[in-house]
Amino acid sequence: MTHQPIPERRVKAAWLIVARREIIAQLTDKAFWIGTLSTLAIIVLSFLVVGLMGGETSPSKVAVSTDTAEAVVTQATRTGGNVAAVRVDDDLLRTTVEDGEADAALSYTESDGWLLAVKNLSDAPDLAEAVRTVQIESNSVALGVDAGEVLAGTTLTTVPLDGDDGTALAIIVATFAFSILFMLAAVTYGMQIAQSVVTEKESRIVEILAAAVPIRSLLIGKVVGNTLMALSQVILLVTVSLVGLSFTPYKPLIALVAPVAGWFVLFFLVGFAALACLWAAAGAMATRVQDLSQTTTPLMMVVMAAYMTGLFARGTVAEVLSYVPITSTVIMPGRLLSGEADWVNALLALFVAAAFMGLAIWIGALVYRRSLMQTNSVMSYRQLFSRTD
Amino acid sequence: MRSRGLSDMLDVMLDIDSVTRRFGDLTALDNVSFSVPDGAFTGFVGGNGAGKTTTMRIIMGVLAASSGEVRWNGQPLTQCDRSEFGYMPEERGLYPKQPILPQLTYLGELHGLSSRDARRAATVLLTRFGLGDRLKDKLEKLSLGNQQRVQIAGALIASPKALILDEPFSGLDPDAVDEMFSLLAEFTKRGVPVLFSSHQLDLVERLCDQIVILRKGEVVAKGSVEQLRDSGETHHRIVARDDLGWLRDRTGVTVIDLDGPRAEVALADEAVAQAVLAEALGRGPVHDFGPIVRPLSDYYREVTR
Repeated sequence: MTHQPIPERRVKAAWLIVARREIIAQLTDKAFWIGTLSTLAIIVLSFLVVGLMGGETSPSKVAVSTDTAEAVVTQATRTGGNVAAVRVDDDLLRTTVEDGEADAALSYTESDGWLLAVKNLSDAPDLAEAVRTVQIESNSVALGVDAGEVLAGTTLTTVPLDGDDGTALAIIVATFAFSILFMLAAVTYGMQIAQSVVTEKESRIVEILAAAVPIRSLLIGKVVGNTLMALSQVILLVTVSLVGLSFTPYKPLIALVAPVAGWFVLFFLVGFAALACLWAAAGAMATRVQDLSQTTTPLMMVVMAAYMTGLFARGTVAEVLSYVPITSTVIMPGRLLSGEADWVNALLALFVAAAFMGLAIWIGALVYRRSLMQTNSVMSYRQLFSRTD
Repeated sequence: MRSRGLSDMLDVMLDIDSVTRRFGDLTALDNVSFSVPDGAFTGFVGGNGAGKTTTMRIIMGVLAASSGEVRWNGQPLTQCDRSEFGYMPEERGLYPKQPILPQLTYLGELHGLSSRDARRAATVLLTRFGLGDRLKDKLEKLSLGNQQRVQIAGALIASPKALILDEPFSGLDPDAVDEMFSLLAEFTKRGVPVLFSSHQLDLVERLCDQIVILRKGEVVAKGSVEQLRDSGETHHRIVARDDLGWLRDRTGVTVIDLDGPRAEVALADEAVAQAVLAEALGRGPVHDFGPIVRPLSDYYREVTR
């Protein structure tokens, strides 16, 4: 050893080294890949199922024998009706429906006017509006008046008073999906962090680590490493989900969610990092992996509460909670989506969450330091704040 | 202690000054002061619960002192200094389920080495310990002795500027102890101070330049092995041809044990010693005359009683 030159020490942030190890340890862990790949497989499968089952429902086939009747069907498709014309001979109109080759048969007689023959009333496509439009046009021509003038002012637009243009459900779905993602990530990665801490404590390597680098660096490294892993996994899942979504009738949802996607990511990042510090602290309070359930219960409750409020809070409660750290992660993106909140509100919530993150790092480091050397029993919350290191 | 330690003669790098540590009502360390001199082995001995591990943890900053401080070259020891120390805790700890090379590399990096240097240093050390062909083995697959070697390698990886080793030799066979000691000696030759605790007094006596003895949280003795051995009342052994009964009547001579021509005596001073020797020679041939070298363990029992 004497002949070996003393290697140069480079001042490198210790948390970076710790974060890198956390990431590598997970990437080289079989369980991680099994978990990730099976989740992806479930998502892809579920979209395949939705695509095959739901998908675009096939249009109702309407048997027609004249150009006018066909024009009615065309007019109906123009206004959003899911119908298609099937041209048949006049005398085959009835049998086509009876044989099930068409869902309905549309015909016109001088005596009865327009007739729509169907097997079941519930299968009847709505062609009334189209019939009226086509008939008014042809009557206008017969009367020598301009069809446009006759039809002018006959359209009705329904305006919802709460500004809902049909996206309310979409917002609920998106918020719900986000809450689930956040909760799943918080619980899986939270446990991962807590476990990583307690394993080091159990194997006693923590004494060497704590002697080599400040405990805060250890904590930050773990939080950063695991947050990055969680975030990239979530982004991967969301991307795959969005791609999947684009193959289903819910495609318009993507356009709706896209503008606030960045906020989702930001809120996830800050909310998750704050929770991660607390998870690390919970891990440090345990002595063995088996004790984790005991020390992580309070956090589990916080995550579940945030998740539930994200789903059920409405009105003023939701507004207030959208500024409270952790719950803001679940609620604020939804409020942004619905337009209830703007970027100023979002920034404010983000700022509060970031401040909370700072506090969580401080608390986490304190707990970490005070309990790391305690190796014979689980530390109580009361002990934690009454002890000196 | 009145005796001057080696620390007064050598450059003192690591200085433990009046360190006290209380756990609730229990005083684990009471005003502990000693120095670990540059380039020397300092043995840290004491019974279970004497406070050796607590002292080492305080030096490494894993525990805080209730009062007192630890200095490095006269300045309070900082986290930055500590990151360049090599530490082997009493409770061994590495990642059992990780291959040994990556985890030593990780430790090296945490100590400030670049990842390439850390990897190289880990490979060199492990190869030297005869583990060169097991770099990819998980720690838990190694024998306990080999795990111990990896642990020591962990403390040495980043060319430490001081070594704090808690019971580094426990669990090693005599050959491994010698091998480890010669490796550590390379560090002391470079000027690195080494503080190590041990229960094995014979080992400490053989290896250490300086000894610190702790009893119930207090330093009861410190100094070089010779100083400690000689500090008590020194006895002399006399072996002559004829009966030594006359020794009982001489002033300044206390007979401890007398068996015909053999005697163990306590002599008041050097002048008495010379007088006794002269008289013995005058009475006939003297086969042996000289101080009795007591084993350190005698002294240890005396001070820790």
